Amino acid sequence: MPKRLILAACLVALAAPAFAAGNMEPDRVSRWEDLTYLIFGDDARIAPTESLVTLAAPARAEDAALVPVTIATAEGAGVTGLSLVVDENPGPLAARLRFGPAGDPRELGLRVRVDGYTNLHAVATLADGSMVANAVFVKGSGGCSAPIGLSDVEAMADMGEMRMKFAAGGPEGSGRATLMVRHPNFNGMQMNQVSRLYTPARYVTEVEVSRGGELVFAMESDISLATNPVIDFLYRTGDARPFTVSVADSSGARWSQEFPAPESAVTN
Amino acid sequence: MRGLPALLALLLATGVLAQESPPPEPDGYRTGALRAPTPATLAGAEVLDMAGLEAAVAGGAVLIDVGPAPVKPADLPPDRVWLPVHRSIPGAAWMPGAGLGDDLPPERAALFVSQVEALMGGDRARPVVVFCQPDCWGSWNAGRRLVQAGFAGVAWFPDGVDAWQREHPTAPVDPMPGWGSPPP
Repeated sequence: MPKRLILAACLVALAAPAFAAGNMEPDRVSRWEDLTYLIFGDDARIAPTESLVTLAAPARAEDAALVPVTIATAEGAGVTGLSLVVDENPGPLAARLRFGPAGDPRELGLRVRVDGYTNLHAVATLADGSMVANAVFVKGSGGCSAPIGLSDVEAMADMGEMRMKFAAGGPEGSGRATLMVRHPNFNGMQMNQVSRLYTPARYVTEVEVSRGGELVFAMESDISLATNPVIDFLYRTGDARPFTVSVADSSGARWSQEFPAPESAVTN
Repeated sequence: MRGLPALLALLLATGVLAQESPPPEPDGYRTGALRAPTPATLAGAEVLDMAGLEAAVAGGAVLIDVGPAPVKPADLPPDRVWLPVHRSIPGAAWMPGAGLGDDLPPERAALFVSQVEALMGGDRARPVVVFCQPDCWGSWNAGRRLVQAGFAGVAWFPDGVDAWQREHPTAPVDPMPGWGSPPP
């Protein structure tokens, strides 16, 4: 137990710059309260935390249509799920993840759209069903209506194509991986500047990563996730079985692909 | 060498170089894409920078935000959370869609003018500031509409809410009562 406390203290020290509990202006706090009921249900009770969940994001977004967010959860906190909410976005929920036995909730990276200066909330569900949240404030605007910069047809080319990268240096017992999915993730709020018509919404709704039938994570995603979703995640090492990724979008399209485990290259 | 003119033409066509000088004022309202670089001037109105806006706010000018309302995607499934919020300069009256050009129906244009007049207590000489976002012709059109209607104290703040929020708090606002929800 003392060991864990020391670890937590170190995490606090490391994460200090991005550690504020978000912007506490009264109207931002009341919006978060409204959102908790809408997203997590009327009975949702979400306790603030500054130790179990931390977020890092640029204080000022260079590109509001593509804001990288990293979420960390404390080891031993018993996190079973994580949600990311972009408070001020019209469609505020970016993603909701459930972790399986082959996964590790200690680190997660996503990229979101930010429509205006906003708190980002990361909500962790713990093993006993309770929920805790932390927040960070991000300055950026216009990310939801920003045109993708390609024609709709170009943006949809190679839709569903995936790549997976593995990196060394994960926390003990886990490896780091990055999944990239080509998908425009049209949110229905982007106007084609030539036709002046809104490009119909078409976005990734589910991403599931597993190994030999064991779940790493299952993600439900929504329109606040950026174009070409990129997910940084951890997986439990010591398993040579390949990863299976399946992706579904709001138009009912499904893609699935297998990726060999990095262990298989090392051990065999 | 041969590639240089082609490169210049490409840069001009894509607007990389064209951004250097703002476009001239059109003869009438802007009716093309509203999100595009705006002129440096608005005939009959004063153009405000941040200091000018701060002075106008301190002086009690009427603030008119014509920024667009988010359009709910037609095919968004009912289980998706949709809760748009519009943040503006505190005290501003928000009339989304009032910055359309000739495509704003005449009765909506007349309503816009009468709404602003009501905010000014019937005195068309009072200072009024129109704004939306940077590169947004909506506020230019709305300012022109007030100038055309004979308002004497019209000012335009082209940098919009984006610039304001870099230095000052914003507040959530609802569309002005009587203006109603914007057409889909």
